[in-house]
Order: sequence, then structure tokens, then C-alpha cells
Amino acid sequence: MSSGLDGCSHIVDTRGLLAIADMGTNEKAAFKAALKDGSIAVPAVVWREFEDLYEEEAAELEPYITKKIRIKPAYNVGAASIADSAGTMLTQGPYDSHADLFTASICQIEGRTLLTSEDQAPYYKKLQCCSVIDLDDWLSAENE
Amino acid sequence: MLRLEQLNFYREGTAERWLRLIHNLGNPDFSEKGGGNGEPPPQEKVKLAKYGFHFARAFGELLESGRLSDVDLYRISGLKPKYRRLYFDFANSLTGDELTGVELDDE
Repeated sequence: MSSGLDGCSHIVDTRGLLAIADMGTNEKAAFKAALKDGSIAVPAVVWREFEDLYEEEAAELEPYITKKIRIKPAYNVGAASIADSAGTMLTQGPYDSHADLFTASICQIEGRTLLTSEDQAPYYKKLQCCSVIDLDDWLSAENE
Repeated sequence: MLRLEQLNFYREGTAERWLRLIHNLGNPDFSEKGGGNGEPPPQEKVKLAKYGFHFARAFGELLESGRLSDVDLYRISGLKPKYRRLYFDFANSLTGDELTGVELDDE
């Protein structure tokens, strides 16, 4: 399992993983291949939350996850900065690991595109901190 | 028990009936086995006891209208989707009469 981002163009969040798990077989296969070859990476904080929330879906996707990103101090600062800009805070809730903000922070710092579900994309676009693409647009771009 | 019966707090014969019951069932205070039947209690009942009816009604409406997702609800409350569905359905299905008879089924 690599934590480097060489060859990685997209970073997926929790809702993105759920949307992938809910896709039809053919569409899901494209994402599984991208997860497997490392072009889509998963922040460790996102994976922990996804495993906790959706055990069965996580078990299906886990063999394809080859690139997990561990949180570095820079990502922490970046997440706090994004939260501050959005007028919110990194509050210490027992169940909220701020996976969305960390995903946005990683994408901003590493210059990668955030991959998420269609309904969650507007949230990230509003943050204006990184490029964002939803799963359907990713698939369309792959098929061009 | 016997002393309470002698003091007329319990009806006559209560201590004897209690002893018969304990003899037939075994004294739970001296059981070497753990409590329960080995199975976890039904999670919808556990969640109902923890979160209550108002929670199910309020967040159920938000989920149905799409203003909240299961991920949001988990981050707010720690309630996982697989238990949420069972718990909300259970809470909404109970009638007033049934409320008095709800048990955890762990005895």
C-alpha cells in the first residue's frame, strides 16, 4: 500500500465511495480499476469513516484500494484554513472526523481533483479550494 | 422476603411462593452464566431507548426530504445507516398501546 501520490489524479471522499459502491457493475468496474491502479486515491480518514458506516460496501471495495493517504500536519492546517474561510470550525465531535474538509485540504495542497457524488459536489465547489468532479463526469471523461 | 411478609408489607404466603419460583427457575444471583440469551438485543429497540421517538421523527423527515444524508446523521449522532433504518421503522410503527409492552428481549 503506497501513500505517495505519483500517478494519482483524483482523490475520493466518503460520499464518492458510497456512490461507487451503489453503481451498476460496468460503471463500478471502471472505478475499481482506477482505485486499483492508484489513479484514484483514498484519504485514510475517509476510508475509516466509510468502513465504519458501510461495512459490506467497504468489504467489496477494499481489495481495490491501493493508495491511502495519511493525514500530515500540512493537511491539518489546510483543513482548518478551509473551515475558517467557510465560516465554520474543526469542532471536536465524537463521530465527525471532518473527512470532507481533510479531503478538500489534501486536494488543495497536492493539486489533485476531488472526486465525489453528484449531490455533494456543490458543497466543495462552494468552498472554492480545489477542483471538483462528480462520478458521472469522471466516467464521461474516461470514456472520451 | 420472609421478614417483609411478617411485617405485613407482603401478603401471607409470598415468601413461600418466591422460594418455589426460585427453586424451579434457579436463583439468578448464583448463576455462573452471563445474562441474556447469548444474542445481542434487537438494535432497533436499543437505538429507540438511546435516541427516543422525537429523534426518529425529526431526522426521519429531514432524511426523506433529502435535506440530510445518512453520512450527515452519522457525523451528528453516531447512528449508523444499517441501524437507522430498523430503528426509524420500529419507532414509527409503534402504537400507544404497544409502548407499554416493549421489552429488550434480552432475558
